[in-house]
Amino acid sequence: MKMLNPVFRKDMRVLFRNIKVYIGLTIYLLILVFITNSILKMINLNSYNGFNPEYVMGAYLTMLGFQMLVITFVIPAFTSSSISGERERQTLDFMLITRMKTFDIVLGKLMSSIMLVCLMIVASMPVYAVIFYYGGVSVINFLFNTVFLIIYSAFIGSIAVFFSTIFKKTAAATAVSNLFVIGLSIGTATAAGTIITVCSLVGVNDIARSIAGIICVALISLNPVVSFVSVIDTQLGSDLTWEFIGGLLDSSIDIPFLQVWHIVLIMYMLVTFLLLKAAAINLRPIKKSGRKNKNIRKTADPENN
Amino acid sequence: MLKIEGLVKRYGKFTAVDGLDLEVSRGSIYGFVGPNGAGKTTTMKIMAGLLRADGGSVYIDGIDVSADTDMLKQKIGYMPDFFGVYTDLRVDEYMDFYAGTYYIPYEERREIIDNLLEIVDLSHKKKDYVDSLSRGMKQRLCLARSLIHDPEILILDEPASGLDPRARIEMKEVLKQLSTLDKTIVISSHILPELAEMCTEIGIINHGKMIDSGSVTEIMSHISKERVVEIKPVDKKAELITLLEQMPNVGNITDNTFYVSFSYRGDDSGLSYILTNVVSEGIPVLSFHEKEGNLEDIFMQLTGGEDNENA
Repeated sequence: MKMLNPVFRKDMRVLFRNIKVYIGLTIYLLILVFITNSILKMINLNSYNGFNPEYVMGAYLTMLGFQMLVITFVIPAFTSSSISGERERQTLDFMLITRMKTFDIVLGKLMSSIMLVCLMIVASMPVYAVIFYYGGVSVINFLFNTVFLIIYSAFIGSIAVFFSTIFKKTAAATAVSNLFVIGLSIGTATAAGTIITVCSLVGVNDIARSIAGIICVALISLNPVVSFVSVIDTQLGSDLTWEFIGGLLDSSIDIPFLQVWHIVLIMYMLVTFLLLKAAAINLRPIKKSGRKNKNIRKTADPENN
Repeated sequence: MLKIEGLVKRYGKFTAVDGLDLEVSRGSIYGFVGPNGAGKTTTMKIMAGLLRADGGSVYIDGIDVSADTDMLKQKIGYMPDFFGVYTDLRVDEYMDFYAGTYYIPYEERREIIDNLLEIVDLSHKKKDYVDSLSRGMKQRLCLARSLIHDPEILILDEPASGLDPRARIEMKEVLKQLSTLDKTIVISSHILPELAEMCTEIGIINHGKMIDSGSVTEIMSHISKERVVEIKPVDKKAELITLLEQMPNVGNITDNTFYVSFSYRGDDSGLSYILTNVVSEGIPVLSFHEKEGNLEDIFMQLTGGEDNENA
């Protein structure tokens, strides 16, 4: 029988016993209901000549934006204590001497964060049901956004787990994780803008422009705002993000079958995996690089005492 | 079973462990004694694979643990001096979590957990939250946790620290019980008498170096230049004193009311020789015993009377 990740299993037990989780969830739902209700009221006020389903899609995407915002700030706060909290509680050593690989430990911690997001999504179901009642939003839209939110939360969570392995204090890990996420929005845009400006000023050839384009797309795809717009794009049938990036680069980037949200999800998953790997390496009590000549001293005492 | 050769660990310019050698035979209880800051915890953390040594090696059954960390994790159970617990878990859930970290199948866990809780006398607290346990109970729970994967070697760093006298006695009882389970136990303390009665071997460490090792008696004989012996004869006390005066390495002969005491520089065979001579000379002996040395004094003598809190 395949075993559930023990860290995830334990964290789930602790999570569902924590009253703060339920209080937080209630506040989140109240805000979500307030936002949804406000938008629906506005739609009703503006619907003189019947009901426009596109407005409902607007309301639905606003809810998605709100959820993304919550994930962006709640997940680092929740996850940045994942390892540093164990260290502060003096339970980390116990975990490190077990047979669990450090990658499994950080993966278990990340899974707990994702589970919190799943809990948020499930708890939001009744609010979504109201939106579905009006029509204009398909189940496919809902599933697509749910998958996106889970991958996004894994990405944000992996940042927090990574910093949690670096900083001994949870407060420091939380602060740096939040700053990093904010920096992603500003930093990636700034970096991409700088590349574009340099390309324009220097007047690079087509090959250099293409390479610059790929780097810009990779950077921009990590930007939470761009990722949100790319997801909206695909559901509204527009192509704002592609046009935006292509326009900035003054060249037409057109890769068949590849949309920005594809790149966004691929980049998120790739960076999540890399951050988890880095966190696992950070967590190793004895780094492999520090290992002593492994090919010698195999046997010290032939009689094994 | 466990062997350490030339272990070195430095923290910047400070050398915490300085070429430490140690050997523990299978099934023994090895007391690791030294003042605060002597290097006990550092050595134990290296043994448990939590710290990288700057030099030397740790071998288990002849295999260098740095070459096979999986083997190390399976064979070693470790209980640190300071530890935390998950207060939101019940006792059995806490144990179940650690059983999971050693990939023990679900169906085997209940029996293992029940057995271990019985050993540490916490069966009645199985469904209680860990937070509600007393300090002594938490220590015993931690001990049970370190046994969850049935390790061959148990490394216990000051397991009785911070416990009240009653909890210390309870912990001692548990450790005695463990010694019957064929576990090799390495236990540290900065109080020598605390370990003396339960350990088969003792190593005294100071400034990261092994000062002395062996059984308690051996260590005492190494350090005590003079052993004090008391003989209680039925009669012929004067003849006894005369005979003792002729014996080699005997001094400070004192005529007490009911017995004669003397100091002796030598090993056990020398003492046996004295007793044989006394009896063969026709002096009836009621008792012949070595007066127990003060372990605290010996410890202070060995470690230079220091208590290096800052190290």
